[in-house]
Amino acid sequence: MSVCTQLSDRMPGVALGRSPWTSEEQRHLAACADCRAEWALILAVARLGAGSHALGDPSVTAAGVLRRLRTEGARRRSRRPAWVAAGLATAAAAVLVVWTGHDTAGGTHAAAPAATRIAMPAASSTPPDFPLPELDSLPADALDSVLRVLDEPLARAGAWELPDLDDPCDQVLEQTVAHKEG
Amino acid sequence: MTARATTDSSTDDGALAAAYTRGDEQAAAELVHRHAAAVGRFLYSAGADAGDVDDLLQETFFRAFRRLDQWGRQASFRSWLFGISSNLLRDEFRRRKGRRMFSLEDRDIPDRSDPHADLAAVETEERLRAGLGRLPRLQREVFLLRVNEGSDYGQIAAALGTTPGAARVHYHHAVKKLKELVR
Repeated sequence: MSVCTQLSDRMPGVALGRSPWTSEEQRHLAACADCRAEWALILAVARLGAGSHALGDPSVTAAGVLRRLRTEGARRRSRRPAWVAAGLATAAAAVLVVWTGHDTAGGTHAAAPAATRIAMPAASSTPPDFPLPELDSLPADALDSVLRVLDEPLARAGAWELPDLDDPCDQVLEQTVAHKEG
Repeated sequence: MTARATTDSSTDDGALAAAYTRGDEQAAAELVHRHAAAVGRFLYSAGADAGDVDDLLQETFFRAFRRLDQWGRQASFRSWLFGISSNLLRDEFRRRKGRRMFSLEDRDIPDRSDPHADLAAVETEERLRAGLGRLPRLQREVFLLRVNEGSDYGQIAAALGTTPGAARVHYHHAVKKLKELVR
């Protein structure tokens, strides 16, 4: 590495006051016009950096930055519940569509009281297991007929029509339960 | 030379950054106090208008604190800030559609005892700023980080996304071009 290159590498550090020139470096500087020109450049740029432009008070900068960060943080926090609310609203709307779709599509059960309808799980991966041993004794035709009746509301709208609570079926059911329980 | 800064001050910067992520705003304010002058000098020397420096400085720190998790510690915190402000300057330059950001007419002549020397100093400074403005961006920023901050080539490379060898070449190209302006 030539003396000029060594001096060139040292110039920023010397200009910033981190270390002084050695006497040997000073001698070279006095003799080498190219190095002197570079040294003059480095000194001028260092003065430019530290120069006449007065930077603002760092406290003001810090306060401004922190204010912006707080504002952004608050905005983010207030935005998050809005997304949650929007998600819930979307989910509720989807349930409503499934719920009312039966009425709008079929129209045959529109008159049934709302209290007698229950929603079916719309996207259950495994069908519910209802043990119905009485069906085992039915002939194939009758079984198909029952299955058709059971499947129809599920396929069409995902909602079941239940009889009114004071329906005679309930009385039969209660009697059966009472009989079984003794 | 390595890109990683291992000085005590950079370790402290890491602790302050961690404290800020835990909600300590005073730690963030301390980081601003430590580095604002250096980053401001860099912005100004690299071509920002004097009137824009404070805004750009604030934007630099705002972006830094917003994405502190992206400070990988390969560079010192200050070098990382230089990288952010360099990107800001580039964006600003593009926003102005290539128009140079350097503005020389609004400089105040410093109040010194020798008006002739003052004038010569101001003229030299103006020539320098104009010369810096004509340098390719990477050459200018490498040169300024080296001269104004005394950064080594590893630190400069980490801040500006280049290699130490390339940074050295950029520096010497810049010196060669600018030398004529102060003869």
